Amino acid sequence: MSAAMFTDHAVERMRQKDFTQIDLADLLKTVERVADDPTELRHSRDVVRVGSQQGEETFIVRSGDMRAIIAIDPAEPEKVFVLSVYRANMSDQDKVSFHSVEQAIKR
Amino acid sequence: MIEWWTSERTRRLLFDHPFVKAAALGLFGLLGNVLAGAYIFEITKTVNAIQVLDWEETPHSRSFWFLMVVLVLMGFYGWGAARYETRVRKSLSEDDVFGIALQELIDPMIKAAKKDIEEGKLRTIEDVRKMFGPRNGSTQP
Repeated sequence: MSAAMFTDHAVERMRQKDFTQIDLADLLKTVERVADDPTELRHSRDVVRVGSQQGEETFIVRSGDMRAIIAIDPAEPEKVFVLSVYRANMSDQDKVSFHSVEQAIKR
Repeated sequence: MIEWWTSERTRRLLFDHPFVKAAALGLFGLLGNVLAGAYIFEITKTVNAIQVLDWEETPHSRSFWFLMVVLVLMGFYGWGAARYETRVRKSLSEDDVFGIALQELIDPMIKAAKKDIEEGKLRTIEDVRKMFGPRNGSTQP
């Protein structure tokens, strides 16, 4: 059982974006469920593993249109870090640019 | 012409299309068998009503040289197919590209998050619920 810890960045995103209380409550419930039971990270249909670097793993948790990006660090197994929150139909400025992806592939 | 032979479309047609692969290898095999039979026929001699193989006739047999050409072509085809397979295996799959794209999106967030974590700027889920709950939240109902 882990505790979900929200970074300032995630809290700021929740504050700035026009999310409804219902959407946020549902998302928090899903994040809490995932944090309570780490097996959800591997088996839940609401969780998608995005990447792994030096043992740190990143996942996207979805609840309706809402998404939370969470990370786990083997150095702190009792915590699940919520890095950011966004809505699936995000604005253009939030989207990753094609150019940056192209550059990343070339690296 | 050279561009056509080296184009991705041609490579895919020659080395990836199952029907073309089956037809090419089948025809090479058939042709090889026919030529091998013709070669043996051409170097067979009848001496005193007994059939013997005169191996020294080999350089004079046209079928032998055609057979060599077929073998060389088969070798080139196999070499091309092996090169194509290796290139496909080493190339990035759609999943790889998708993973890189997502990682690219998430990397800046991870950097920002690490800074927050190092500075202890973390809030529990209860804090967040209080902030964005029905009475205290700044979001719309």
